[in-house]
Amino acid sequence: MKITDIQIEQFGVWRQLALSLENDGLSVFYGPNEAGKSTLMRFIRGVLYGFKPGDASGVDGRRQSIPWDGTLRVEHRGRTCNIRRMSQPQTRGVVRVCDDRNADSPADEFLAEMLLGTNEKVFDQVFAIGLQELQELATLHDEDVAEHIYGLSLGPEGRRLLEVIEKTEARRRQSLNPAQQSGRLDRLFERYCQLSNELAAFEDAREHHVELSEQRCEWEDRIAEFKGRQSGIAMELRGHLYLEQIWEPWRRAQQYRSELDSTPIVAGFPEDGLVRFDEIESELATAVNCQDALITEASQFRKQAEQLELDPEIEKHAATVQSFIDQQDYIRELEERIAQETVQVDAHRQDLEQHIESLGPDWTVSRLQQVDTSPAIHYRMVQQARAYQAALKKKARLGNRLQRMSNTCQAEMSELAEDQKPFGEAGAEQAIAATKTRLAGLEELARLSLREHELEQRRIGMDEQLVRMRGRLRLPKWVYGVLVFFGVFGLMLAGVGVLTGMTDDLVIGAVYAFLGASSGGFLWAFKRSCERDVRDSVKQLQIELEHNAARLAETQTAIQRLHETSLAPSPATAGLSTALFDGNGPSHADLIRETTQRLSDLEQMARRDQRIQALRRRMTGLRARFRTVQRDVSTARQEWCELLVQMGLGETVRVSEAFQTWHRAVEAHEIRRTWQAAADELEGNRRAWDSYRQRIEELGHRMHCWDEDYNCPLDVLAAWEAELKEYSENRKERQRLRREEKARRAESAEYQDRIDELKLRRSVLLVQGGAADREEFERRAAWIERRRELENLLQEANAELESAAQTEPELAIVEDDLTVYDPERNAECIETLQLELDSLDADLEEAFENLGRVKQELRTLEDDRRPVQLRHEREQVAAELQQAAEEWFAVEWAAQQVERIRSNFERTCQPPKLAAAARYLERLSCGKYRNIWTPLGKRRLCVDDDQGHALLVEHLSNGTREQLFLAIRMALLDDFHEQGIELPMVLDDVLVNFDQVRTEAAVDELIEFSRQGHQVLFFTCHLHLAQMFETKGIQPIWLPARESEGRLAG
Amino acid sequence: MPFEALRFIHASNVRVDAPLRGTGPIPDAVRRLAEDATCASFEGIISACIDRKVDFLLLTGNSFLETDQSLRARVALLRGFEQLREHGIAAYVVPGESDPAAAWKAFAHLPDNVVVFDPETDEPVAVLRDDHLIASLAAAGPQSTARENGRSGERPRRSDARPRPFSIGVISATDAATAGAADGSADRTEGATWSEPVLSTVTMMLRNRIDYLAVGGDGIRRSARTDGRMAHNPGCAQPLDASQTGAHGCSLIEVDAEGNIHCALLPTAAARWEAPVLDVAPEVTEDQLMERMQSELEVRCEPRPTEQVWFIRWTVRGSGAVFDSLADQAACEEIGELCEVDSPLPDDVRQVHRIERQVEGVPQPGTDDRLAAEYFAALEHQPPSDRAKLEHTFESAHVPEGPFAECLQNMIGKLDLDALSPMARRLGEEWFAETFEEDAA
Repeated sequence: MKITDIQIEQFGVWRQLALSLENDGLSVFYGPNEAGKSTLMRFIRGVLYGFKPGDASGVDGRRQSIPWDGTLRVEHRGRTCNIRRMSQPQTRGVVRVCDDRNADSPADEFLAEMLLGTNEKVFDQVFAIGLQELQELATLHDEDVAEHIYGLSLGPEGRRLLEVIEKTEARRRQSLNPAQQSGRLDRLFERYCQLSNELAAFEDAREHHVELSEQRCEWEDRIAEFKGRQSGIAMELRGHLYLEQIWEPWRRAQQYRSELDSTPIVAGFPEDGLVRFDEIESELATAVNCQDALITEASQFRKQAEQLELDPEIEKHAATVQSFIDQQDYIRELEERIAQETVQVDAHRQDLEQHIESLGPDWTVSRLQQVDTSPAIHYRMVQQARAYQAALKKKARLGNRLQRMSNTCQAEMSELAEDQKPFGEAGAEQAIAATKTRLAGLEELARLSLREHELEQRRIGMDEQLVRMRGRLRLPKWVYGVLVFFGVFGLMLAGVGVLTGMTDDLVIGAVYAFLGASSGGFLWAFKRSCERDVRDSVKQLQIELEHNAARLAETQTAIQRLHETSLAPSPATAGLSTALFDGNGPSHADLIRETTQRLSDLEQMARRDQRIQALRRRMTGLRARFRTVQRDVSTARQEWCELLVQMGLGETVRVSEAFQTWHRAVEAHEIRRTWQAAADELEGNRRAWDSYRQRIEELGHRMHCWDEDYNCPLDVLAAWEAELKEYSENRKERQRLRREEKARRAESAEYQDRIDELKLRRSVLLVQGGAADREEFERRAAWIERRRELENLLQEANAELESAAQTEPELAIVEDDLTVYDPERNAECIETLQLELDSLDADLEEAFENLGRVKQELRTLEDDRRPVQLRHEREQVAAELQQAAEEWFAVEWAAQQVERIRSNFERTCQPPKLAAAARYLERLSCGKYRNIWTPLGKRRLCVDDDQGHALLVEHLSNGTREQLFLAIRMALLDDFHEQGIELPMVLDDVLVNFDQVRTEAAVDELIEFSRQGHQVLFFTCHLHLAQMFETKGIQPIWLPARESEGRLAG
Repeated sequence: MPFEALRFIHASNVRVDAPLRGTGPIPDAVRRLAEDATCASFEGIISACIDRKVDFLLLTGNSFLETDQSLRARVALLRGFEQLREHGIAAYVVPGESDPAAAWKAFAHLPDNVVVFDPETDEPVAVLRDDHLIASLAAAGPQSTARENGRSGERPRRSDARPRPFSIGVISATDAATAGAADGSADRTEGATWSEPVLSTVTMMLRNRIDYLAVGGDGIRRSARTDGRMAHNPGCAQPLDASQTGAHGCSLIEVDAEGNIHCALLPTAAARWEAPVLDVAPEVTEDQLMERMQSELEVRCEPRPTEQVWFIRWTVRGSGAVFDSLADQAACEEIGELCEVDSPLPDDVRQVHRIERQVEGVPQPGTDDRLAAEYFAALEHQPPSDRAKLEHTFESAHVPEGPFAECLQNMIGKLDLDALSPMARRLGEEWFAETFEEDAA
């Protein structure tokens, strides 16, 4: 879209304005302040997107009554249209689009096609901007705009890198989060410290142990020392004690013996005569006094009893009445209780019935009673259920494993059986043996065949050689010629010699004949000599030929034998080639290869068989274990069911069902027990009350009380109680008096008998003692008693002496020692020694106590397993800590690599928009800033300067920041342009903060930008800017200065 | 007859009452066994001394951890020594890094059969049997090496009529490594390999009139023999974590009259660690995995009588559905439980199975996934391979100052640097997982 004309009927300060814009794309509007530049901007936006209420205010903020009306003439995709918008209350104005022929087009469709979804906010913040928008970073952070800058900047790779970074961070936090002091490492370290601290408490244990060990030794030494001393003192004490023990009986024996000799002997005196005499007299006096007193008291009691009177009916039933009275409080409580319990029993019964119904149709109260609901049985039930479920799980696990192994085994066995089929009944081992035999036979056959071949070749060679040798027997023809010559010459000489001998001279003839014969013989010898080597060789060759033939025959026989034995076909070698090498069939190597392959297959089969056997063995073991587990399951199930039966529940293998039933049964049981207890109590109470009432009624009838109301037994009882009280008191008193009287009289009679008996005994005693009166009797008794006493004492003293002597057989005392013995001195010694011994005993006891305590402490220290457990745990934590530390370092290391990738990515993989913006910025900043990038996953802009330093937007100067934002907007416009959105760029004095150099650069860049097809409307109030554009060939549009409220265009 | 025949037990790194590390969550009964493992191991050593009627017990370093301040360790050691005293067996204790001589001096009432031999300060000690010298115990550190260098290193000839005492030298692995001996090589080595400097040192020392060199310190069982002499480290009596697997205990050293040294392992460890590694192909089923686990256990199934609990840490590598299912802890526990059920181990040996899934190799991002590619390339080019980088990472993390930060910083020195890169790769796989899935789709 390109705006070619702006026509304003009425908008803000403008009226009747008609502006025609340059065709080259860049239009510069110059006007002083308040000239209406911003109004023009708002007008353009208003025509495109609708007037806003604020747009209707003038510069001075007053609302004008004249409706806004204006037209933008635009060229869009080859069409020229007028977009006219007129303000309308409550709306953003009515828009109309018509072409040159004044034909209307659907306005909404046209605008939608033209704007292509670019909303008003984007237009305000990207296309039409003023200095304010350019200075505010926030304008680029608005969601709609930021989406264009940041949203798509990541790309799929960036997003994934971001995800990786998030995962990295999550992993780092999981391992260690220093900020929050959490993470695995931190936890482990904390645990380690905790364990170390706990262990630190045991650090002194060794020193303490050493101290205790030393203490133990000290105490043991001290005890030994005490014991030694104790032994010495004890020995000394024994001596003194022995002397003391012996001296006293010895002294007494001496004394008794002398006194006995001086005392008279009395015969026939009664035993204990004097004592008996005194007793009788004393008893006699006492009896007489008592008898008199008793008779007087009895008379008084009788008189008092006769004065009291009693009701006979009450007397007859007094006990019964009293028992009823005693129970009346109880009966009263009983009545109240019966009333309360009746209500409770009804409620419990209903509750019980509901619970029994919930248990099931076959549940009754009697069955419920049989259910055991004790905690012990519950504990057993839980234990049993756990055992049962554990056994089931174990069985399932083992069963699955067994099944898997069985399947594997079956499959392998089938496969093996299939592979073994070709061998028929012959087993793998037999087949291997047969194949091995065949292989050995084949190897032997190959060897023999080779040998046969060699022998044959040798035979042929020797035959050829023989022929050649025989050929060599024939000498050359010239040799035969020479031989014939010399033979003829010899014959001739011999003939000449014979003739000469016969004719001339016998000697000469003989010489000639000899020479001739010699010549012939020489020739023959020469010939034989020449042929001898050859003949020998021929002969040798013939012998060898014969040997060769023999060996060949042997070899052939062996081959034949091999064919008949090792290589004979058998079921075990079925499938192997039966044809043997004959020059046409398979070679020996092929046969051996085939047999080797078969052997390898067979051995593999054997190994598989072994593996299957091993598997079966393991399966057997596992089956045994499975059976054990099954038995365990059966046992557990049986025990479970038995337990259920024992508990009174129905048998079920469902544990949860059983538990539910049990819990319901427990509840019902509890309710039944409560109900039963309440009912029993009620019944008992009722029975008790009825019984009580009946018994009162019967008693009343027996007592002839016919007018009482026995349905209210408590009232009857109240009356009886009063009567009984009176009767009881009288009766008690009379009984007491009678008893007293009777007792006195009985006692009096007893005393009389006693007095008579005592007098008789006194007389008898005097006669027996040979005395006439008491004095004489006493004297004689004293003599007897003294003698007896002395004898006893003497005997005792002797016995004591003897006994004392026996107690210390190791010690011996002479009579002189006893004579000079000083008891006081001896007692002092004993006392001193005893004190020493006591002191030693106390010390020893204390020492033993201390030793025991030390030993106990030592035992406690040595048996304390806590440090061991802590050390073990700390070691495990340390191992984990090290592992976690390794993991943490690995994570950190990996995170560093990811960070590097991110850093690299941020600088090299920015979206095209930012790359384009970077190019604009480089030109706008005259090469000072070269790169714009956003940190991954963050809506933040960074800029790299020509030194490679990254700077945040916040750190840039105002002018540079404005250049950056302008560059980004220009890049965004490029992007929009590529998407087909061709809206004009409207700039309102955006270059005011640029320095001179960068302003010129910006002007050039805007001109260049407009040449790329963008329409730029540049508003300025700075003359030098307008002139700068003018010098660059852009003729500014000079807006008139504002003179009044409404202004007409010139 | 060059020597008096003698027999002794050599143990090292007993670390009585030291806690096991990395057992994970375990039932109470197993936990008690784990807590008592090192004590039980020491008791086993004492029982072995008594049963085998040895001449003496030699403890070379780290018999307990002084830093733990454990009373139980002290009590257990005293009780053990007391038992040995009752049977007339001497105990020679060489302090180590974790049980310095000062710590031994702090023992109250150490029985008189115990000799604490500090190689740094003490003169050689005579080992007597019925008041007859049968062996000598001396330091074999760098100083003594220099001292001994001048002497003849020949062993007594067999025809010598009078036996000489068996010479035992003591050295820690650290000292051996820093001794800086000349080149030397042993005739035969057993157990774990020796580092070159240590091997050189011990070989040289063996040639300097030391018949038996007791090496302590690093807790790894290994031996070296040269000229009929022997250097031996019995390893730790009870491994504390999964870094040392298999049977462990002490060594029974028997020297016959001819001077032949026989060394045998006497297992005493109550807890055993195993760390099998399984490679899982994509097509492997759960049953097959179980079978492989069983097979692996069968191979290792040689429980020693003293062993009461096995901690088995499975590391499963590979890919596929079964491998992926192991990401679920519950699935791992299920497999561990099944493994325990089918285990070939005797019933009285408790088992704790722990399965860890190990992702291997650099993940291959999709060709279009620039970010993932950049991430993994960065990891490849800048692995966290040195501690200075980690220091920098720590500083960049801005952890608030305090004990926690100190603790974390101190841990840098203990970190397994090789484990960090795979972890970072796994994290990348997790973070960029969506991309991999999309690419796969």
